[in-house]
Amino acid sequence: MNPQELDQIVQKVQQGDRDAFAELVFLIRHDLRLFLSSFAGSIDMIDDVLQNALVTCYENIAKYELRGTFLAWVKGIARNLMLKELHARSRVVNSEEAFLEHVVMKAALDAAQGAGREEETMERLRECLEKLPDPAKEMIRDRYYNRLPVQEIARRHGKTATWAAVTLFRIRETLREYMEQERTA
Amino acid sequence: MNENDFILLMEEYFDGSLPPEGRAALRRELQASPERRALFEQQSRQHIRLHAETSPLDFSESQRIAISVMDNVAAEHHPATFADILKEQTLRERLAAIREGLRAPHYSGKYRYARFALFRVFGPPLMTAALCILIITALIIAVPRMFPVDEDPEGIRIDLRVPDPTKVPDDTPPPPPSPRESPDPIPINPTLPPQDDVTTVTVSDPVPPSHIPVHPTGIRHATGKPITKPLPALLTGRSPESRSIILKKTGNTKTEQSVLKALQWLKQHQQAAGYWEGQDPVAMTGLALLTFLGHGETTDSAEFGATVQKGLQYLTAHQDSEGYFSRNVYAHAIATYAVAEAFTMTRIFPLREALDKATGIVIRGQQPGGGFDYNYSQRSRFDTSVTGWQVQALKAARIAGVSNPALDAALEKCARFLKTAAFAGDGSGFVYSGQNHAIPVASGATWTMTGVGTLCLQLLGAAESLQAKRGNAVLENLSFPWENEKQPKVYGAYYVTQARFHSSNRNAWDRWNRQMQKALLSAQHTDGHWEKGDYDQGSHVYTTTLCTLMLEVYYRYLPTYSQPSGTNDPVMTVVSGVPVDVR
Repeated sequence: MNPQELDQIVQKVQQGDRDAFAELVFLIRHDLRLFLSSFAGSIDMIDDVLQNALVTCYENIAKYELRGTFLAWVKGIARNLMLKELHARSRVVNSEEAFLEHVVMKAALDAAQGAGREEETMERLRECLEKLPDPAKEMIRDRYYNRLPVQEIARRHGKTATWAAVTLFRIRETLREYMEQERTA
Repeated sequence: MNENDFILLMEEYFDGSLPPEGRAALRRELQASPERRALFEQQSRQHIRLHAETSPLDFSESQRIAISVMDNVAAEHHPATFADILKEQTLRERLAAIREGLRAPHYSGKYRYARFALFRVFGPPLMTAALCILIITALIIAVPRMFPVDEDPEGIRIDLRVPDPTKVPDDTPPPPPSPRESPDPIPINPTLPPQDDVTTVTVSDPVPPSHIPVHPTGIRHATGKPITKPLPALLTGRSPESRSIILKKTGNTKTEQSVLKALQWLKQHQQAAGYWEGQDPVAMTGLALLTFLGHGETTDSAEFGATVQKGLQYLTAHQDSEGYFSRNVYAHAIATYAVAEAFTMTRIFPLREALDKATGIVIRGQQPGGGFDYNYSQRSRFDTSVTGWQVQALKAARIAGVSNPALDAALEKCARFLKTAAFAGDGSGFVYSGQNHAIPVASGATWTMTGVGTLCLQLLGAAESLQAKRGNAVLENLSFPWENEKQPKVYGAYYVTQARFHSSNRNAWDRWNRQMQKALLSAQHTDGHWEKGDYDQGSHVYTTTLCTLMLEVYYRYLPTYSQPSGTNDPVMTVVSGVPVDVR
């Protein structure tokens, strides 16, 4: 969908068309999720921030000027909300019991502050996923698309949980290296 | 802690299944080793990215989110209740809001409001009117009984009697005409059992206008006996009467002449064994039969009855014991589609058995994700083009009343598949193929597959889904693919023509219709055939059938969005449990 087509739908929303907003959400939601995942501290944060970003977007949509920059406009809203949320959660989880969450939030905050090329990162990830050998793709499918826990993946393959965890670890490392190579290339 | 144990703890943390002692161990490890902490950070980032990238494109979830967002904002800024709204609105405003609401999707607040307001506005007068009608009806029935009339009304007498099998009563209608001459015996026509000792109810006057049994829709029945089960509303446009009315409004006499010429050409090119030549005779026969059935021609048609009969006999004779008409997945679905329509229109019982078996094959061939692939493969690849014909076959089987308990679930799975896996993540339409349960296809939609996906969603009752609407929006910019084409893309045009016809954008349809009529009427050869369509294997049957089906679009299925004159509100009815909007 090109920016002008998106603007046409936005215009309908500005004129009060509720169906058009449903269509708009449908068109931008996946992009927004990917964008937010680049610097989210956890998976549930993505959905929380996305929901808030859409509310803010709907409340302020009358202020958006039709210049073909709608997606960037919404991403700006989402990014600000995510940063706000990360700061808030970093403060809350800075305790011994929540040390792990603190590490994750801190890493996410660092990523968010240094971010700016999230779309490229996600594009590379997509390309690299396609290059994985079939058995690795199958593991990714089970773990992420089918949302299976590591114990269940191990059971399905007739292996130990450690085997499944190490295999997934290696796949993610391989993807990271691929992405790094692509970036430098 | 060795590396493998550390990795397992990390993975279980990502799962959310790490117990407190595991969390403590992982924490100690990260605090002790900056390298492992860096690794943990990298892996958690990568885990979240992968999670987002592989999230299913759940479009109904998008709808739900949008509604919840709008409702939240509305509740915050516009806390008016229904009662407040009604109090503030004039009657005219209420009617306008009702009209608008009834056209809105059923999940929307506008629609719910419209139903509520409809009852508020029209409930009391309607109740009063219904009460008056009841009272008047009761009076009409009661008054003649209170004042009985001695004489029977002249000419109308109900005569209950047991007929004498040896004597033909004078007022019996003349026997039906001798069956149409056919070169072959007609084994698939059931013979009527003799009716002995049957108590009959006859109406002596008025005399039935004709002895030729004609279904109320105008389609004659092969057995010479009126069809007892009416045709589904969706197909009633095929009767001669409906067809002529519809054509006056939508098509024109030239398109109808063109269809007739094509049917005559197909009749002439049917092989003696009943099939039509082409790459796959079963598929060609199925397509040819669909063109005849689409024009309301059944086994009992005066001009084409024998042709339809022989075609159906060929298909049923070629069905194997498992139920396959062909091992080619396209051919099997097309043949199933044709047999389903034939059964719906004729109720010839042996077709039912063939249809049940064939439908079972399609249902069993469906992938867990709801799509289909070549050879009914259950591997991860799906094929939207293959799926398109299976959906048409299953929908036709549903209309025919196939009682397979898995049929409804299969249709639902088809709709879910089309809305998710087959729909490109960038919203540009439907894709040709992809992998089930894998990363959803982000882009790569084609107009042909968008035609397939959009039409199928319309057939599946999901015309109002965002995916179908997006599909139609994409198709609106297309021109009829014939001009300057060495091999006109009839395959895609077949789908797009139907999808555009069933879409609510009448202006876009009118534009496409004009282009289609111009292209097809000028490209038809004088003997009635078309040629050079993509995938035509030289016999021209393929191109001719698809072009004919396009020109039958006006009456083949009633428009999904047709509205009664004088109102903008669509009327909802139910055909065999499948909701369709019809006149």
